[in-house]
Amino acid sequence: MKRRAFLTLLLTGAAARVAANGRPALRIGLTPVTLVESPRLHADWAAYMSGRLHRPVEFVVRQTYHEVTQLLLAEGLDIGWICGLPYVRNKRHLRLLATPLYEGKPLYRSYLIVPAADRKTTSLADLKGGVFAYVSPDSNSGWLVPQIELRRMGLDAKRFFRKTFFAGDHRDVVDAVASGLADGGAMDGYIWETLRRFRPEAVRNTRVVAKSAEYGFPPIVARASLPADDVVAVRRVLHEMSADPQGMALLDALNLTGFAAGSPRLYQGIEDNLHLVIGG
Amino acid sequence: MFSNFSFRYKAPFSLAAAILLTAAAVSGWLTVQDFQDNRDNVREQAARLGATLAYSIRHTLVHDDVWQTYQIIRSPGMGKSDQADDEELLVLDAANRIYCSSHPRRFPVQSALATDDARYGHLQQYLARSWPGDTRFLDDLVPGRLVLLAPVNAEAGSRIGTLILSRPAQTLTQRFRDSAMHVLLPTALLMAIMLPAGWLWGRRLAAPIRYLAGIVERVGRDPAAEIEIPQLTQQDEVGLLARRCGDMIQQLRVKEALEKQLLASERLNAIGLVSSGIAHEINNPLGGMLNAIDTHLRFRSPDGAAKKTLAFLQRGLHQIQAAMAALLMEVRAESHDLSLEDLEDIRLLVGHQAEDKGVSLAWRAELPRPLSLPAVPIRQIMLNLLLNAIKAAPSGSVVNARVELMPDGLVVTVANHGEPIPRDCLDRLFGGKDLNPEQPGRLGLWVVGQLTRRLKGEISVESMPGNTTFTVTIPLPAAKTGDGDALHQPRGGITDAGRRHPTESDEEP
Repeated sequence: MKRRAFLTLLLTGAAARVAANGRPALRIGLTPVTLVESPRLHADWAAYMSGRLHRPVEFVVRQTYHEVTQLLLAEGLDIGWICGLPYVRNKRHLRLLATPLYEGKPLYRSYLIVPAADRKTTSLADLKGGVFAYVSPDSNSGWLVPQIELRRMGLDAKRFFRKTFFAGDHRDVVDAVASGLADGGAMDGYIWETLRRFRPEAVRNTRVVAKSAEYGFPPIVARASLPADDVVAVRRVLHEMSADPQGMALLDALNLTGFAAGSPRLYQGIEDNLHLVIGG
Repeated sequence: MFSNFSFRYKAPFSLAAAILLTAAAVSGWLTVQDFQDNRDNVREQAARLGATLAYSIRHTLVHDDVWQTYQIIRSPGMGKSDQADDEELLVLDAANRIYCSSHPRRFPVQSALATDDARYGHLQQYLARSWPGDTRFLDDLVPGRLVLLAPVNAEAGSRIGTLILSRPAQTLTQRFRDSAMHVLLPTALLMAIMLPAGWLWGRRLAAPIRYLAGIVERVGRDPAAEIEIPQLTQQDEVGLLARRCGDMIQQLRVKEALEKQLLASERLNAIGLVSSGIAHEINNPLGGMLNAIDTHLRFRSPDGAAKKTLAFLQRGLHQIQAAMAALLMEVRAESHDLSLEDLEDIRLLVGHQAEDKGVSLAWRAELPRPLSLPAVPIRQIMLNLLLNAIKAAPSGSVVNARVELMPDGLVVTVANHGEPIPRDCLDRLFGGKDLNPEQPGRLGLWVVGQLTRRLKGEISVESMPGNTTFTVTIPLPAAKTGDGDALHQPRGGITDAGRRHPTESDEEP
C-alpha cells in the first residue's frame, strides 16, 4: 500500500514536470553504480540530454538497486542505470538501452579491498573469520562475485566470515573497510578507480587485494513500455556524447569514455554466476 | 607580630589582603561553580545523546544492520581519529559483545569488550554481573573516563543491546582548567589594578592616624607649646581623636604655663625672702635715722636751712623705705598725699644723675593742689622712669619729664632720645606679674609696672628711633571711703600712722 502510494506520488510529480511542447519529463533513475552524490553533474547531464531530446530530463537518485529496479518495473521511471545483476534478474521486463564504456570497453571488474594497514591479506581466502562488507544482494561486483569466488574455492560463504553486512553503496564499502569496521569488502572496480581519480583521499586507507574477471558494465535500461522512439532518441544522444565536447566533458566527469548499444550477451557471465549461486 | 606593625604598612597591607582574599574567594567559588555546571552539562549532554542514540539504533539492531548502526554512532566528530582520548561510542549486542563501535579497530565487531582494550575489563565484569540494565554514569570503572551506560530496548521492552558512551575524564579537567583560566585571567588583571589602588587607599586611610601618632609621640617629650595642634576637619572617629588630642595639648600648655608661673613665683618668693632680710637690716637703721630726724625736728627747732635739709633727708629716707617696700611688692612705708614737693624731691634726686651723664632735664610739673594719691609709689614710679630714661639717653640729649592732672587722672610722661627698645621686648617690658629672672636689668621698669597695676593705672610705651616715651596714667580715687583700691584704701598691717598697708592677699589675681 505504501509502495503504491509512493509510486503514485512519484508519477504525479513526473506529470507535473511537462515540457512546453507537452511532452512529460524523461525520468532516469540512478543507483550506486555511479557516484550518486554528485548533484551538479546530474544537473549538467540532465540539461545536456534535455537540450538534445527537446524534453525535460530528470535524474532520480535512489539508495538501492532494488528501489530503482522496482520503480522501473512499476513504470515510475523511464530509464535506469542499474547493476548487471538486477538486469539479468529482470531482463524480461527491461530493455537494454546502452552500456557505458569504461576505458573503451563495456566491461568492469569486482575489486576485493582491505584496509591499507592490512599488508598480510593477499586473497579472499585470507579473510577467513573476518568481518566482510558487501554492497547489496543486488550487486554483481559487491556480492555475487565474492560469493562465486568462495564457491570456486569450495568454501561456504555463510560460514566463511565471522560477520557480514551490506553497506548499500560501493562508496560505503570503501568507508567500512577504511575505518576498520570490516576486514575486507567487495565492490565495483570502476567506482574505486573513479574515487581514486577524483577523490583519492577516499580510497587512501584501502588497498586492492584482488580484481575479478571482467563482467558486463552496469547497463542503462529502459522500462519495457517506453516508446521505441524514446529509446532510439536516448540511445542516440548517449552514443553521440563522445563526439560532442560538452558530452566529452560529461563523460570525463563520469570517468567513462562513451556509451555503446550493448548486448545482453555481455551479461551472460553474471547470469551464469547467479544461476550457480541460486542453484547451488 | 602583625599587631606591632605600623599603620603605615598595616592598613594598606590589610586592604590589599582583603582584596586578594575576596578575589580568591570569588574566583574559587566561580571556578568551582563553573566546574560543577560543566560537569552537569557534560552529563546532561551525554545522557541526552545516549538516549537519542539508543533509540535510533534499536531498529538497526533488530534488523542486524551493522552498517546503519555504524553510520548512526559515527556522527560527525566521532571516530574521526583513532586516538585513545577520543569520545568512544560502543554498541554491544545482547551477549555483551561489540556489535559495532565508533572506533572499529580498537573495538572489532563481535569481539569481547576488553579483548584489545584492557581498560574496559572492569566494565565488562560489571555489565555481566552487576548492571541492573538502567541508564547510569560510571565514574571509576574505566580509568580516566566517564562512562554512560544506556540499554537498547526493543519495542517489547526486552534489552537487545547496550550503548556505551565513554568520554575522557580529562575533558572535564580541561574544562575546569579553561574555566579557571577564564576566571583567573580577568581576576589577575583586576588585581593588577586593585592591589596598587588598595595599597594607596590604605596608606591614605592610615595617613591621619600616622599624623596623630606623630603628634602624640611628642607629648611628654617636647614642650606642649612646641607641639602642633592637630588640624583635621573630618568628622569621623579619627577627627574626634584629633580634636581630643588638640584639647589635651591645650590643657598641657596651660598646665606647663602654670608650672612655669609657679616656678617663677617660687623664685620670686625666694628673692622676697632675701629681700625681706635685707630690708629688715636696712629698715632698722633707717627707722633709727628717721626717728632721730623726727626728734631733732620736733625738739631742737632747727633753723630754716637745717629744717629744710632735715626734711629733705626725711623724704629721702622715706623714699629708701618705700623702695624697699616696693622691692618686696608691698608698701610698708607710711604714705601721704602727693604734693608738688614730692615731685620737686624727685627732680632734685635725679638732677645729679642727669648732670653726671651730661643730660639736660626738661621738667614740667603742674600740680595745683595735693592729690589724694599715695605719694610714695608715685615717687617710686617717677624715680624709676627718670633714672631709666637718663641711663638710656645719650650724653648731651634732653630727658623730658612732665606731670599733669588730666580729667582721667594723673599723667606722668618721661621721654628720652636714646636707642629704641626692641619690639620683641616691648611686650615683656613690664613683665606682667612675673619678674623675668633672665632680665634683671629690667627690675626698675618691672617695679613701675607692678606699682602702676596696684594703683589701677595704665602704662604705655612708645619707642621709635630717637624717641622713647613712657606714659603712666594714675586714676584719681572717686571717694575717700568705700571700696577703694589697695593703695588708695590700704588694708593689711597696722602702721604707727594708723594706715593700712597692702599685703600679699591684696594682690590682683
